[in-house]
Amino acid sequence: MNMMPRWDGGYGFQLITECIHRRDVKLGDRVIGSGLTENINKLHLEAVYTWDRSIRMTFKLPYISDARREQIGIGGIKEIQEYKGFGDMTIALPLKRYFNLAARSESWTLAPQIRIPIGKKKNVYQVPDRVWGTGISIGYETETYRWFLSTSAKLWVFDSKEPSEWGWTLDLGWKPADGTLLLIETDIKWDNHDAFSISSGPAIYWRWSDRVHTRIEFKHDFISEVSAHEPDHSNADNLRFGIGFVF
Amino acid sequence: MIKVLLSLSLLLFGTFTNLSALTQYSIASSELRLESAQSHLSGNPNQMAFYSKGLVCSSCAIGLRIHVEKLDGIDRNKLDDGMLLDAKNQLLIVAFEQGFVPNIQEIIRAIDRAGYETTHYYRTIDEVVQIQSF
Repeated sequence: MNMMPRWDGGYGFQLITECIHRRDVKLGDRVIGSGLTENINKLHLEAVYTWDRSIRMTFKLPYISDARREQIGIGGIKEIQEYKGFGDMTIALPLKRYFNLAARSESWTLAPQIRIPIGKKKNVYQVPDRVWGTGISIGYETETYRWFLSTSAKLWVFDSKEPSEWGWTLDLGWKPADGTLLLIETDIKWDNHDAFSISSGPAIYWRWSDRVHTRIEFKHDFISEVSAHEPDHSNADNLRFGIGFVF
Repeated sequence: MIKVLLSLSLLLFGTFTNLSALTQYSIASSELRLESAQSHLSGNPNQMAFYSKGLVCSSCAIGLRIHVEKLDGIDRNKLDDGMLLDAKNQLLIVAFEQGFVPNIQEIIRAIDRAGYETTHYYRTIDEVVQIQSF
């Protein structure tokens, strides 16, 4: 949920379950292992505290409850690899500038963030990167009683050999009723090892009560190219369900 | 690189097309807001409606409830626990206990702490809903 409390002293947390299914192994844009799947189930714990509407802190920690991928092993035999454990933690300090307009609200966000590796590499198959990272994102959000628009760009630079990542998101929403928001969300990601993806799909946000909010989203990779230097799983479908509590 | 540029162009096109659609959204005029205030306040002399500039989403405006409910004199038996958010007309309607005289400055401060701005409010005087500027 990108609905962070905008009031002084507001805080909240959310739990998100995420299922990722990747269908093929690619090298660049070429499929070299059709039908070799990767399935990842994650649980995310995220929290936010708003000092005042211009500054807040967010915390994100994923836990990979079950990850399993198929690889071509020695002699061309299919090999199953598994992983379980904490992902990398992300702490951000979003700085916000809100503008209250006639029948419209808008905000600009600048968010410096760091990624902190939790634990060490245990085996060949690692879902989290396990490296330190520094990121910055800049975003714009506006909404009326009926419409919502959010866009942001981000850059991550990592320690060690991990490639830098760029991303851009565009979320367009319509509110059919009070407390309900239907969205089409699009993400573009690429890195300096030539991995590139465009994913998009619908999302629904629903407020159950003042304190309890939920969100379901699905995204499909319409373009999914991995690094030309190293094969990786691609062509993902991603399903997320989140429940958040604000105070 | 071509795909990156194409994607960026699409995103920019989508962003600005929708931004222009958003800015053309009909603005809740002061007449419409007064009509809404009249419908909320008629027959409820102990209620007031505060214009909350920027209030367009009741989910984002929960801070209004959180900060206003801390104030004295809120009649929690009326409306939704003493308050109502009318995001369509940017109004916060508050029910006060009978005979209570609200401290308007405290309400202005609470609206500000919730992230919104207010310039006037509506109340019933001699059975007529009137605008009161700060």
